[in-house]
Amino acid sequence: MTEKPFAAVANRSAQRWDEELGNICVYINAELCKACGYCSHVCPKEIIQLSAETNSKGYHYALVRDIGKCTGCRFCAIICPEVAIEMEIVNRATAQLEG
Amino acid sequence: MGDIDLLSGNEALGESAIRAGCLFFYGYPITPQGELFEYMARRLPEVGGTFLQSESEIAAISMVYGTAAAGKRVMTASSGPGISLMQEGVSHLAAAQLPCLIVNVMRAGPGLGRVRPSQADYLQATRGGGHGDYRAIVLAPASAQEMADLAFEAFTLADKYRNPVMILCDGMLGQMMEPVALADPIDPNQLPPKPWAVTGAKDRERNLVLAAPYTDEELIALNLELKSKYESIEVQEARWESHSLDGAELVVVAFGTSARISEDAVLKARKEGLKVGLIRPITLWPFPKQAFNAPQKKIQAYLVVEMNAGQMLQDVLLAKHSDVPAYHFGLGGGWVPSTQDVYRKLVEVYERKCSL
Amino acid sequence: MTKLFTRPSSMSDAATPYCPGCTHGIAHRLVGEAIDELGIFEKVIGIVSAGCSVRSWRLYRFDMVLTAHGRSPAVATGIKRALPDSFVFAYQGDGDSAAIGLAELMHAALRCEEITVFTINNAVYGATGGQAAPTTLIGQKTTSYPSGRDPSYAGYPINMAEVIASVSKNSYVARVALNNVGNILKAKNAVIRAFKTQEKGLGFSFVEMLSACPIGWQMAPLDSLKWIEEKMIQQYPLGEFKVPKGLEP
Repeated sequence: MTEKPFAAVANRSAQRWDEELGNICVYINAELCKACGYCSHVCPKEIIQLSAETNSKGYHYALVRDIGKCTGCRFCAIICPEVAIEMEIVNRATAQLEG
Repeated sequence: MGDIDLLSGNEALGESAIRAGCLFFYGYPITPQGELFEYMARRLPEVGGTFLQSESEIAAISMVYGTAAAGKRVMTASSGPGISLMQEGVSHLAAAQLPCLIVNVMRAGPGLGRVRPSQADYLQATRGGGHGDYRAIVLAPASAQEMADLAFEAFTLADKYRNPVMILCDGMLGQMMEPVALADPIDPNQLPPKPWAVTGAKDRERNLVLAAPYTDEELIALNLELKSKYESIEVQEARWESHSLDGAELVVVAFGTSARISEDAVLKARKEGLKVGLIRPITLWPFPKQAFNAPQKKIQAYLVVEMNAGQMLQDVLLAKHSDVPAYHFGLGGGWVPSTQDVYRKLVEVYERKCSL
Repeated sequence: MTKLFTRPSSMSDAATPYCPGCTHGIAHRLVGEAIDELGIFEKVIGIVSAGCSVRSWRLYRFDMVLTAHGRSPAVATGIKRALPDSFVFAYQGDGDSAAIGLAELMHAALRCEEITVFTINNAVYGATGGQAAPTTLIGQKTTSYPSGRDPSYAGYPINMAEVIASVSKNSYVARVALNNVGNILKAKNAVIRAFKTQEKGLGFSFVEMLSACPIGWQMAPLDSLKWIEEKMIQQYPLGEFKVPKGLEP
């Protein structure tokens, strides 16, 4: 499990990092999340849920559980009204989906 | 155009605005603004400017807001009912601190009224006109030459203070033909730059032109800034003309067309030995309180002559010495006094209050 | 490292001012993405006005103007006429476009002003607490008509895209929805085509976006997405209503 340095992404606050499966990284900015549930609703693999924890505004922010099943389809990021989700592939050599 | 031309007030104003580098006019037709409107429609395309007839006065003032935000000199013109529609826009222009010229060619009201001269929009113009605590600089020409001069200057004032400027005139001033000397044209590209304008964020931080700030504190700060701006304008930009105040026992106060009519009445009275003087405010806001400051021990009365039921009267009451009474001669609704009417009223007041 | 999905660079880091589940934020992002992709950041001037999007100028990093309710198409006209090489868009709500500003919108469309207008149609006045909009559906409950809109009393909703398409000779007019991924991707396409219409000087461009207002509709967010699908699209069909000559299919 590689470590995700915060410095790799600039100008973010309260960042929650999700695990990296192979190469696909999904970053959900917990502080921007308003727990609307849309990302969870559209994820074809049903791997996004609302956390039991809350952010500073009291929202149960979305969290990727079981990143192992993520296919990088981007549906979650496309529907997020807060632009709270970003995604990238870190290791190109074994990438299954290119952006 | 030669050095001196015989022009109508409307032509003088329109041509002067263009020479001041104003190449944008948006407006909706309304009598008696028609001739100014048509002059701009004919002339602006000749000089590569933009004339657009808008779908309403509300749209016109909004187009003004856009062009002013983009950093260009811009104007509109209307009359009472249309000026009323524009008030929301003027308040927003003042809040966003945008420069522009708005011409009110006054007509008789209230309501739909009739197409006759009037000066009954004085309070609307000088008290801001729209909602909130703001002021527009208000200029009152009294001749075709002044229509030209004040139009030219209006843009300088508007840019200097980042504020709307209004010219208050009427159909008579618009149509009277007099010799006018026009200023040399300014190239709008040579005007001082407006670094705050929205022109596309290239090689600079982005600009914002906001009709409302983001926080409560910022709105308070804006109000303080506006208050301070208006105080500074009051000190520096008040203009008026006066004559025969030395030794005057009765002082007539009038603006615009009323001043032209009263002037003749005052001259006639003076020929007969009456000690009468005249104060003619040229800026209605800021009202030239200074004109009433001079030690005028002899003044027994003011006579305010205006084509309304008592609007500038209020400012005279505020400006004058409390011991001296102010009388009023005027009505709205299209009433226009003759020189004889003013003279008779003047004599009546004089006989009552002054030494014969 | 390959980016799969990032916040558009024309957007700032500011949080959106909207309620949970409101899809305004998606619309804003699509506009930001289009500006990035077309490379027009330095020429863009955006206009917003009263309504929930009144604070949305904070979401972008380019020149923005805030003006009076409904007046944006006229303000946009004033900016575009002054700066013909700029890229001008107005972002409005349904009250702005179809009520108080209907005349300004219609005439900008009639004149085929080379501006782009985005209208967020969520069939309600969100910012002021849930009152009826001109686009409120028959039977829809709002604080103005708590027992539901009755056409014999309050008339019928207006289909803005069809109306604009019928009056604007040279224009791109489309209606899209933001309630699911497929529709959002189509919406993105419409935004790009609208901007391309302006870029090529082909006339007026207008995109009406069906958007969710969970709070105004008194629904949970996921139910509001369903309501768009089941109720709004019936009244407001999706598609392109006018495509200008010169805009490739």
